[in-house]
Amino acid sequence: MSSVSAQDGSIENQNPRITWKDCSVLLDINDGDRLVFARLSDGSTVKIGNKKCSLRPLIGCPFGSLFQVETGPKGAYLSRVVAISEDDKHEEKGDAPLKDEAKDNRNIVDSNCAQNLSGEDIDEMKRQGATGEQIIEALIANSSTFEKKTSFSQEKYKLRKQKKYAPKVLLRRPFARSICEAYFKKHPDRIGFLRVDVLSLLLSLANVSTSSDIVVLDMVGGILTGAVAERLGGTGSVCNTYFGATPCSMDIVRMFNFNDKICRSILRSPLSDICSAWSNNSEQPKNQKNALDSECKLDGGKVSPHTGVDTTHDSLHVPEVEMIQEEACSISIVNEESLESSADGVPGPVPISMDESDAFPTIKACKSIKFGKKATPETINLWKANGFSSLVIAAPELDPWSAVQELLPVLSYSAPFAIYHQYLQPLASCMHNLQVAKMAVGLQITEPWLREYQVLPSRTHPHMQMSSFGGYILSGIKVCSGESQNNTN
Amino acid sequence: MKPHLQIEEEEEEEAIRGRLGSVKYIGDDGWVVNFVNFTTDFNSKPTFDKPCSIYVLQQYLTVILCINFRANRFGVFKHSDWIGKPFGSKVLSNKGGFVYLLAPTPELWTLVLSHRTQILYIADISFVVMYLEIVPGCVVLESGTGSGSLTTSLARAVAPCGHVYTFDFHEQRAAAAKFSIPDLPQPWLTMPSAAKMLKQDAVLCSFSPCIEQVQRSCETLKKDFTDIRTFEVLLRTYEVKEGSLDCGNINKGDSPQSLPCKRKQSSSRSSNGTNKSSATTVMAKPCSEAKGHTGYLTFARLKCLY
Repeated sequence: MSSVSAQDGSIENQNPRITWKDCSVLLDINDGDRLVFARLSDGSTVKIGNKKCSLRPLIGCPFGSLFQVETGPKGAYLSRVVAISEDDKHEEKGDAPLKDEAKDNRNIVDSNCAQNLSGEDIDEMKRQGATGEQIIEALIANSSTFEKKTSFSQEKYKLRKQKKYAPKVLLRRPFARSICEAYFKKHPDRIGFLRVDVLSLLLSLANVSTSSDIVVLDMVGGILTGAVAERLGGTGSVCNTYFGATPCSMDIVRMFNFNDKICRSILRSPLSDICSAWSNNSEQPKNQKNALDSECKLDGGKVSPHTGVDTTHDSLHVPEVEMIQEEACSISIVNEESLESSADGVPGPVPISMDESDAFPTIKACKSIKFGKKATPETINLWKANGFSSLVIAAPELDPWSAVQELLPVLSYSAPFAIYHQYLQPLASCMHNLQVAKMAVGLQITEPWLREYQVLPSRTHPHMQMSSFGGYILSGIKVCSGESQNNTN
Repeated sequence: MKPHLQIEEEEEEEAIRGRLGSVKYIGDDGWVVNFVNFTTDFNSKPTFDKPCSIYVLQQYLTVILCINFRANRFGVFKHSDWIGKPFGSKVLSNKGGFVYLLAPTPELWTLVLSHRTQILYIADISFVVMYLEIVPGCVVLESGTGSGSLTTSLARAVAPCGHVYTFDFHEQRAAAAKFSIPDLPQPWLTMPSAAKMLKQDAVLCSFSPCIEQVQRSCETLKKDFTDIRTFEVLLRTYEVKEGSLDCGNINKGDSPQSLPCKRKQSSSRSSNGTNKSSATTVMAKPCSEAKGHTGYLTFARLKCLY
């Protein structure tokens, strides 16, 4: 009972709560300062500050474990931090502020000479093998103002120094939630500014549930397709459809640790194929195949289709190996660190090249992930037999009403749908048209609002900065409108 | 007695005003059918020519959307007439009222629950399921079933091979759960035992309407949990209507082209001729009333100790 596992992890039926070789991970460096997607292997590395650390120690560790950068004879390495003593620390942290309210900053002058340790001193300590903790202790001992600070700002000071001298790396599971949060924080444009609460609402409103066949119009990099597939867990199917001849990118699906079963449940089909299947009863879809088919030839052994086909989305026109690398370096934001290091005189040359480019040498060897195969005419006919169970659209560039007109007919009756858009007006028009045509009931436009709180003793308040907008969702349920029964007066 | 649906006069009035009410289902066992307003606003004359509402027959978990209020009486729906109809069909009553037969979903279920207990609303529910990373196969422990509004969504997320253990005011010791969601008056009391039952790196969520509860929960959570974060999720709903706005005297003649109003995008497909030559605009505005607060969601991750 205890070990019912979510998604049997890797291809080899690994414990999904422990990392394995070649698994995809999300590295949260210094409490969200940097977020890096990486694939674990013997040779992969991550750059923290100006140090390159091997990711090898992370293999076989449980997700959720914390690592700290230590410096050893062979340079920096990641060592696991086991959080036992944290209890007491937190105790202090929590209770302290009330005691020393008498302190304030009236005597603290920002003269930049409060610290008696020089950069050279710190370098020397490092050479002698001092740990990050020891350096922080020394900094505190040599700070003339530390004692005058309130314990709250002492805590902040320590945290700041810890981030610099003893950076921590949290090993996180790449799930829809963490992936969406990471992108929203660092590159919201790549996922169409889809906030995690909005994504979750889309999945609920579209009733994404086991064994459903769900048609998605995902022009948000694949986060939607991935999230839907994650919920289906390999049952049912996700049909990633697209207008025209060019499939939309779904590179983000690669960040998930999907097993074969889930990967197989993710299919692609151009809208024209689906529509023609619905309008014809014969084998028509076969003849309708367009030139693209040859481009994205997909048999079991071949490379996955997404490698070469994407031209719609920025520059993701790269094989998957490099894609991961690109993500890895592009999603991480380093400016804070580099700023700090120049100011405080941390030694060491600044590397010129993006060292992530050689960070994943073994990825090429790893098994190519086969998701997003083109749906066969047989599959399309199966879909047609029952109709799709729901529809989710996240296509920032597309007019919702045009999309709905094409896609609503392929849904079964009583199927829910949810459409995300950044702008209200297109959704309002779409909703109005649906109402007028009596194609759907339960129509509603909603705008989710998400606010995070700082909860601390006597210091609880909403975060000072928040996302003020997450987009709009139009949702509804398709009903039979064909027979146009009149409404009995 | 044939099962049929009947609405009581005063409750119908209330229904039309768009408030929460309840409708009696006169069936073999006199089951109660819950009713809830489902339009954005009844008073704003929605463009859809009739307001709509939802019915749930708890016994059969059949959800019906009812649309005809014009006759001020739904009439009688014969249950037997519904059997064998596909979901999504429109069925008529003896008085010409009609309802749509809809397949039940956790969302519809949440909409029609009686709100006697503190319930979680769809935005909270969705966020909880997403944040807890609940996928098929997960084992979830829910403490404080209440009306079950969250439970149905949890069950949907763990299906087909997971499990949701849910209970109300009873300490559950046996289950080793992956996630835990206390929704109790004193959630902090459950947290130490939750910590014992959860797998490491498992996520806990606590739903509390009051900030004092949150404060206390967070204090307690610090012992065994990390990444403690508190959120508030709300929804704003919009009403949409089509209308023409007076553009003043600027326009010469009747040419609609000269009107600076935005034209309705396209309704060429729509069968009826609501879209005449006049320049109308589809406009949207937030509904004037909304749920201002549901509760605070506190999430925490169990520390990894080995």
